[in-house]
Amino acid sequence: MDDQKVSFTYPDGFIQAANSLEFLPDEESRKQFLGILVTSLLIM
Amino acid sequence: MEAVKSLFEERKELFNNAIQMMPNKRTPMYSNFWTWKILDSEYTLREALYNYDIMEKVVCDFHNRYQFDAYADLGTRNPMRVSDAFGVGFHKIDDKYEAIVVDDHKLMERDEYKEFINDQLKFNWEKTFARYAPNLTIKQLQNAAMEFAAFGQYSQKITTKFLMEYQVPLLPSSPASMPLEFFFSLYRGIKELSIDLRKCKVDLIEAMNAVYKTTTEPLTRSTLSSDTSSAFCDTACYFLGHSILSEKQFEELYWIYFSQCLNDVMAKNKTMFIFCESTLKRFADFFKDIPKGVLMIHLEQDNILEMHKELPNICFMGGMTSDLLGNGTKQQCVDFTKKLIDELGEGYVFSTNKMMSFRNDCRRENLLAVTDFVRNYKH
Repeated sequence: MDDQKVSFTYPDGFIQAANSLEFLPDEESRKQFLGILVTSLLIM
Repeated sequence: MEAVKSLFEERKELFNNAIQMMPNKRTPMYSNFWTWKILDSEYTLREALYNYDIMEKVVCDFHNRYQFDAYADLGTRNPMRVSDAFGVGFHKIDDKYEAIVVDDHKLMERDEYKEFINDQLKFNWEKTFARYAPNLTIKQLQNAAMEFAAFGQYSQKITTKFLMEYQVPLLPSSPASMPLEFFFSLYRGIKELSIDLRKCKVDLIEAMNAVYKTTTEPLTRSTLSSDTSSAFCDTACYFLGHSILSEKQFEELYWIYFSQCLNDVMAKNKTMFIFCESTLKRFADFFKDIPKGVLMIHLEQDNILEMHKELPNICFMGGMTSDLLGNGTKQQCVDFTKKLIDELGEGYVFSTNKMMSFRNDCRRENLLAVTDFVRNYKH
């Protein structure tokens, strides 16, 4: 799983990637965090 | 008997009086120092940028040494650990020249504006992020997310420290980025966007309308409705992409959105800070009818004395040149500081005319001399 490449399909790949962020409690918060991360990264 | 003001209240009053163009106890000082403050410390760029404890020390030492009243950067500008965790990034540290270099880049193609409009999150995931980190693994994503969280913790910690311990008013949060900036800085890059202005302006305008509705307008309104008392202005805006526009293009592609945000600011009797990269002079006419007490504009390459004559309704920030701070004598620097304060008067905030980044941008003894002078001089 760790070496698995991220799938850049939407929404399936996005949801799968979000759900790998297990330090967050649920799917909704993980999707929200990943959305912010992706957007922020483009700004950085 | 008048109550004793806290240092925070004094600093807030300095900025507030400046933007309202009212008499002030002294001229407020705003730090536009970025990576220079690392070069002014005992650490290298790499040491500070990759260790948040060191960065905190650098930023705090800088404040203790020069005592600015507010800061453009608290060591959060280049989160190299986050972009490195993704295995990518457009920013690189050049150790030899003590600089951070960035490549102009594009993450969106010219024929993709309509896709962008249809679903921005889908587009960001499938196109821009896929191009940014094409070989990303789940493990790398997890590590990068942890780094992003650690960066957020540093940012929160240093911001709270400056506000509570040093009693420094903060930069307004959530800047109202104009739609063009998304394509200038993020998606298309400087070169490609310059060509889009001629080749696909209609598509660009449609995409900017979408960005305005989904991001710029709601963010501006929520910021204006929130508690902004910890900041030195109520909201902020960064002018970067205007630098490639003619006056006609500025009116059509920039002012049309900015004026709506400005109307929201004025309707709520709030204030706005603008950092203006490059120059503003050729667009000065657009700002002539804005009432006093609304805008504080940080100028970069414009002659601030000329701009003050042209736009006496605007509070300007900036003026001190890196050329003088880096190459002049202490006396020359102090003399020019005095001239700025005397000629610009009440609606002025002392700062530098560029983002101070390189070793030769400034000498410590010159900065100590001018900050000491501004703290003690009453024009």
